[in-house]
Amino acid sequence: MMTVIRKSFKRELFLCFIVVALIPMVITGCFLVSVLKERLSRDYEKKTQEQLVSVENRLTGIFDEMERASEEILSDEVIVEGITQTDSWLKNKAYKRLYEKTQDLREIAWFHIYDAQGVCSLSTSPQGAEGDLPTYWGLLRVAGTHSQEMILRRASGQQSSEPLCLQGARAILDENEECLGFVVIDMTEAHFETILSGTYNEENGIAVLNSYWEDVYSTKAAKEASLAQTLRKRRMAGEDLRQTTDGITFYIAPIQQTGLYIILGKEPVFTRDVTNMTIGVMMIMAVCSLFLCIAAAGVMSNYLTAPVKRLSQAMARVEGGDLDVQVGSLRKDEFGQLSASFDGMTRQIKENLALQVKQQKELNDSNIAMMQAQLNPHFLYNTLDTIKWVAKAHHVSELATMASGLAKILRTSISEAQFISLSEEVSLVCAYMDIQKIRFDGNFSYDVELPFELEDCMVPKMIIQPIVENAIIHGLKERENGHIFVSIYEEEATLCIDVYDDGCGMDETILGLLRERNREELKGHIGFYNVDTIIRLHYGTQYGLYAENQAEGGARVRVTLPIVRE
Amino acid sequence: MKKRMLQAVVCLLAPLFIFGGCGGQVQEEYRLEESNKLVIYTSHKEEIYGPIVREFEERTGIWVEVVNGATNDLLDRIKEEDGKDSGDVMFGGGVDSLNAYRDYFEPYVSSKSAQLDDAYASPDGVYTVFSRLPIVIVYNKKLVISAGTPRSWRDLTNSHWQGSIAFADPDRSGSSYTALLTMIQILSEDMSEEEVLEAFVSNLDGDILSDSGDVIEEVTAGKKLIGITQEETVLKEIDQNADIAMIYPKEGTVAVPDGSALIKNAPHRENAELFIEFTVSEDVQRLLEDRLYRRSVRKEAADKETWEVNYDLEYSGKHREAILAEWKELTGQQ
Repeated sequence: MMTVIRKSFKRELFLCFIVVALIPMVITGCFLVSVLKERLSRDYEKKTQEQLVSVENRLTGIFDEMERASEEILSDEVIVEGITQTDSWLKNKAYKRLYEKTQDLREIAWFHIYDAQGVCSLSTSPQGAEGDLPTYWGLLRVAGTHSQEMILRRASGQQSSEPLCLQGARAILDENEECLGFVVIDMTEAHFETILSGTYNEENGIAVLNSYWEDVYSTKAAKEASLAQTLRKRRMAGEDLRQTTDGITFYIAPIQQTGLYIILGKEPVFTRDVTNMTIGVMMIMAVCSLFLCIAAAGVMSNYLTAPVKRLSQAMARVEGGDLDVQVGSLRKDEFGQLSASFDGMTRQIKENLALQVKQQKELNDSNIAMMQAQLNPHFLYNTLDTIKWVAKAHHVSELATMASGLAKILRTSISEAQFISLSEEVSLVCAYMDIQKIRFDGNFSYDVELPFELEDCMVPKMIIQPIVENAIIHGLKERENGHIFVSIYEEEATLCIDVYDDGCGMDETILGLLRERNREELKGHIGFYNVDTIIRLHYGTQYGLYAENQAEGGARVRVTLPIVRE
Repeated sequence: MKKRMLQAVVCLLAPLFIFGGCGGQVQEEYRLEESNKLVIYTSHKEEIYGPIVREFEERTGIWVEVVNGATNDLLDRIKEEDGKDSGDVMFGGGVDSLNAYRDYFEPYVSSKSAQLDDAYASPDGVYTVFSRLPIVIVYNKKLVISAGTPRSWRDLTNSHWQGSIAFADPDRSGSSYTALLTMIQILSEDMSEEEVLEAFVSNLDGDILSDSGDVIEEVTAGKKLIGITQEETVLKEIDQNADIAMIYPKEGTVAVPDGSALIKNAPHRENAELFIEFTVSEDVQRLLEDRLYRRSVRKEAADKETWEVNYDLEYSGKHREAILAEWKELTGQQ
């Protein structure tokens, strides 16, 4: 994986961008969500606890009031006497008192007075005084044994038309601690609704449980969620009261001293939907930034690699010898500066090279001048002329020929002109060969072929002579009747001068050295090298000297030159 | 290299999980001790077990879990559980049924056994009796004049009542089987088992009710004129102003009790014993007669009525299969 990424600058950039963009986003996202969640839940829980407390306060307040009312009732003689009264007038008086005492509470509970046998005697309920309760069982049994306090019990059984939720009871005792009857308070669902209205939000379920977590009163929402049953079941089974699968969070608070509990069931603030949505949003953002990363990586890598690529291409061309390359970047950044330096560098190299060539040429020119001026030529020339005339006077024709030829060669050599016409060059060569012929006792012959139209072509002076010299000295060495043939012609707008001999031919090593233009090794054949060098310096590398052996024997040396006329 | 990167990522992400784990444990203050629990299997209706269980809770502080169901289902469950992860007490079911599953109960003799009616007491303490349930004949007062009511078990075999008797399937209803056996037992002096069954089944005219609760309903609604059911249901219905009345057959009738039994290997045995003691306590037995239309099993309350005859528990148990098979044959259920 890493190796794949490492192979491309674009991919490396992409990875970098992802790391830089995505990780902080995910981390901050997660942090934000969890902090928000924590914070919201805490607020929510606080609010819920407040609600719970307000419900608790309301109920405790009501129970206190009931306790107070029942206290007043059982200490009211008129009511207590009314329990056993059959006289309707006295009963009526008792009723009046009872209604007086319970004035504020009748909205939220029914008050009954039972006699010592558990038969209902007085009642504020719409049904009036009817029914009885066992005194050996349940509510009245406990009230009888705990006469100093009000007993609260979950109501059991159907004792009136409306289902009862909670019953309270307190025994009425005479001064001998003898039970005269009971004050019984009934609370129905409607009563609870009245009491609790305004203390909680409708959407939350509220349940009041007894000490065994049996349902005393449940709001509609709590009934639907079967809050009481679920919690009792969990507590019985020893399970966690709050379970993660719950759609509802429970809050539990005991109501002091009554043995009752309030359960508040709330939908959690962070429902699964909300969590999923947050995650969804984060995912979408992550995908977006992923695409952004891809795009940015593409653009950035192009922006960064394009100048590098151009530079490396230019570098390759310079390596191939092309010094005219220019990158010409318009950018102002480091890449622009780099390109500009590169352009400057190639320019500089080019200039340096040209300068070097020029200096070399100047050096060569001075070399030639030096070579040409090694003896005071005028003295030699005049001497030779004198020899010629003396020889003529004494009729020594060979001497005259040699002296006049030598004089001609010398004059041409010492003349200021670098270039001479081809006809002059040819006559120079002829003079040279005439001298040599006398030297070598007429052992060879020669022919020169110069077309008329090429006679006025200008060539560097003394370029044929060294070749002919070589042919005579090396080619025709120890040979009787050798022949030298100089052929000059035009071929493809190039002037060609071929020198043939029918001698022993050239050594292959010499030919090789000539092809390699190896000056150091060309001892004895330095004339060839000089000719070649002069031509190349004057006309360029496409011209020069080429030597080879002929199949029928002997050697052929060709010199090529441009056709230049004055 | 890769390890280091992994470590870095873990370090970065670690804080996220700090906020994660806010799960709910059992709140310690609400943890219940095992010694404070009791599991009751009961076939009683809520109106019977409800007040008793709640009062038991209030008096003892023990939390009671109630598993409610039909007698046979619960007994089968106990058999299946065979003392593993089972409940503590089987509360309800005729003493004959409880006796049939004696292998899955632990003998327990109540400390109050001396004060209890011993007519149907378990000799080896398999069960403790709870309430007596006389079998009676109920009739619709509007449709049957009191002079014309059936007076005896024998009357029920009289073709005069053909198609007018509400009776539940004895294969499904324990009380119905008891009634059938009572009839056979009482008429056995001059009628054979088969004769009784044949005469009675033909009187039912093929109309057999599936639930014992339907008997009183059919009679109250006037679909049937008379019915055979338990005294308890009739009394309750009369209390709710139904226009019906009941007759104790002149040959006498049985009052076979139901009972409670301690389940083998009960996890909360002590509480289970407390509960059984409670079911036969003076207060509960008084409440039964007072409010729940049942007859107490305590000696002081269980003075033998003149109509009461003894039920042959042993015979009933031994011949159950055979009698039910014959019943099914006669009613065409097989």
